[in-house]
Amino acid sequence: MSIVNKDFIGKGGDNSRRLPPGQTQVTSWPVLSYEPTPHIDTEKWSLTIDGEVNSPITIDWETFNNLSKTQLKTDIHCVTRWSKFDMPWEGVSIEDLISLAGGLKPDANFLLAKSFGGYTTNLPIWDVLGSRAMVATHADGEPLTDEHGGPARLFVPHLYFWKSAKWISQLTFSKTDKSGFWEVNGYHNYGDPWKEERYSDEY
Amino acid sequence: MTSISNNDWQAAVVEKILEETPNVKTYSFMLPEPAHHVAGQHYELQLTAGNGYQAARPYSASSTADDMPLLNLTIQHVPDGEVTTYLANNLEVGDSVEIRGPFGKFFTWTEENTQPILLIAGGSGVVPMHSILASHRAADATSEMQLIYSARTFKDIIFKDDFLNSPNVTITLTQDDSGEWDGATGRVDAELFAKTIKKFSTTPLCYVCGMNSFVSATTDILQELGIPVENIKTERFG
Repeated sequence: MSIVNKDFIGKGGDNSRRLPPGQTQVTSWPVLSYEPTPHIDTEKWSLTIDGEVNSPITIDWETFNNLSKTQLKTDIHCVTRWSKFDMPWEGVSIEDLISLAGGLKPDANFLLAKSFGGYTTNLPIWDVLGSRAMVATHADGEPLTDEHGGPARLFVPHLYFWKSAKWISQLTFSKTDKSGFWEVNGYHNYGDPWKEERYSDEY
Repeated sequence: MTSISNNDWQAAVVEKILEETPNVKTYSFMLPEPAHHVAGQHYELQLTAGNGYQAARPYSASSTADDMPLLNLTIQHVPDGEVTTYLANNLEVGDSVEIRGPFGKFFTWTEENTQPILLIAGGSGVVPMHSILASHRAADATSEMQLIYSARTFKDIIFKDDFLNSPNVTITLTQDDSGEWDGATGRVDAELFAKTIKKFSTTPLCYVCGMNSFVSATTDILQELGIPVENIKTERFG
């Protein structure tokens, strides 16, 4: 698609201002995680959507891959100070997964995302709605490798990348906020790269 | 003929722009392959900068089948909003943007649904409700439907022509500064909800849309009034 919206700049349309404060552009894709890289066999893979939804559900890899996929080309920002521009991503939107689980109950205010290895991260609900977030299976046109969180990871590109939990296994919606792994270990509860919300105030 | 999926971006041309309120406009778009949606669904609109940077946002459709082949999106200008600021200040008739959709299968209404419906909207959360009410009217549906709409001031009321004299719509203004308003004032509260719920023959299915804080406060009150959780559908924006 070749549309260019004249005079549209937004947050990234001016190359000299495209990096959030304190970030450096990279062209490679660094690998960071606090645990050894697991290999998750798609035969044994499952995704549970539960908590404040009307019909909690656990789906297998085949069911997940039969859902319609969405694409997003966007910049990603890691709290370790690198940013990568214009990465195409593909996956299933969180909205579609919520629909599959019968829709949200009215008390659903937060999401706690869990990984196969036990990693968790927390997000306000409105940060994953409206097609802004997905469970991603592909980046740069390739299936996600183990080290980048394959076969599927959470993808929430407008927040620092620790929020995009690798090896995703469970999405639990809740009434109250419950801090995840890095959030209890000194990192900011929200993580907006444009406001440089790297660390919690206690540190 | 190739068929386009709701995940494929289409180049949409602006055919018409209607100023609804000082900070809300309805944009009518023509898509190469007009999309069909049901009331309550949303689309995504994407802008592209000269360097390739893109930003996309979801917006509820305000058009009904009667508006086909045009797609109407009614959008509030959010101060500092990356996309809405551009739409409000730069977008003109004849310009193109990218649009895909429709999305959302939960916050929707079709005439097969004959349950009594209570719609509750804060601010521009009224956009999908307008679509639901219009579809209800277009289908000559006889099922019960009421809308409670909380707006800031008289001039902030969107879709005035449709709403002001409708027996199905109750508007409450949080700031009554006009002198021309003789309707309800103040924030939505238990009293207002209870009064409206009493109009229904049975417990209604409630649709709540607005800012996150509005939706949370509203659903708390509805539950205090005894509306079961499974009768409440919500749609929130930050």
